[in-house]
Amino acid sequence: MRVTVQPSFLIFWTILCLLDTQGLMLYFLPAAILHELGHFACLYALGGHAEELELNGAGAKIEMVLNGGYRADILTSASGPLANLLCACLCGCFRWEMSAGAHLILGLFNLLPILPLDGGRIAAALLEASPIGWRAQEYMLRWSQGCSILLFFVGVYFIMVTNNPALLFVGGYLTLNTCKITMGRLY
Amino acid sequence: MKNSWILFLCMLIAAGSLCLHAVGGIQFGSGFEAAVQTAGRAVCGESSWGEAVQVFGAYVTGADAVSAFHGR
Repeated sequence: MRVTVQPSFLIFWTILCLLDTQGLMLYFLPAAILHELGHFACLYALGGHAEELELNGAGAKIEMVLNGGYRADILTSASGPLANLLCACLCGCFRWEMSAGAHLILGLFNLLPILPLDGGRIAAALLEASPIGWRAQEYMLRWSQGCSILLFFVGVYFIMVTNNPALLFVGGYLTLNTCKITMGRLY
Repeated sequence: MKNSWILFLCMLIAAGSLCLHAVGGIQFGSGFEAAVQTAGRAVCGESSWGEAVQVFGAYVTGADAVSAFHGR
């Protein structure tokens, strides 16, 4: 398996580490690693394998070889967030509040039905199984672009009114990624 | 050549972020910490899920999540 690190990955983590004055990355970094391990575990359990792991500004992108149709897609996409939710429950048993919170938030965020998040991939795979399956990717992309641009502008409103950049960051992050997917489809 | 540009960009972002911290123009930390902690407390069964949603909502909408957390 090839591992490539994109410049956007370094820039993304530089920003996160600099903004993290409370040491929250200590909780979110293991959660992110376990999330990806969840995807890998499911992929290999289903008999597939990974050809490339690309670390970029959107997180990690796994080029996988897997036969199994949309069911396999749903399972591999859901395995990352499910790993986080399981870990949140385990951390909850040991009363590790911050770790449980980090796993829960990361897992739930990834379940949002917006591409390129895992929830978006699950929704796309479910749409593919429906009668409008031949246009599933197009519909999901339009939906994701609409949601991310809406989040971005709500974020602009909040940063002007309250100085809180959280929603602007999330909206900007998703908008950039949906644009990247669109460009990838055009060229 | 490409790597030096990335390094330059990282340093520029670092400098920009430090300036933002210095002038206090960005509020990112304590509210998010409170949101993560309340979510964790909800998982541990030490607080309600409604409270976790309330603190997280307060953080996302820019309201004072720390006060929401301590005022529970």
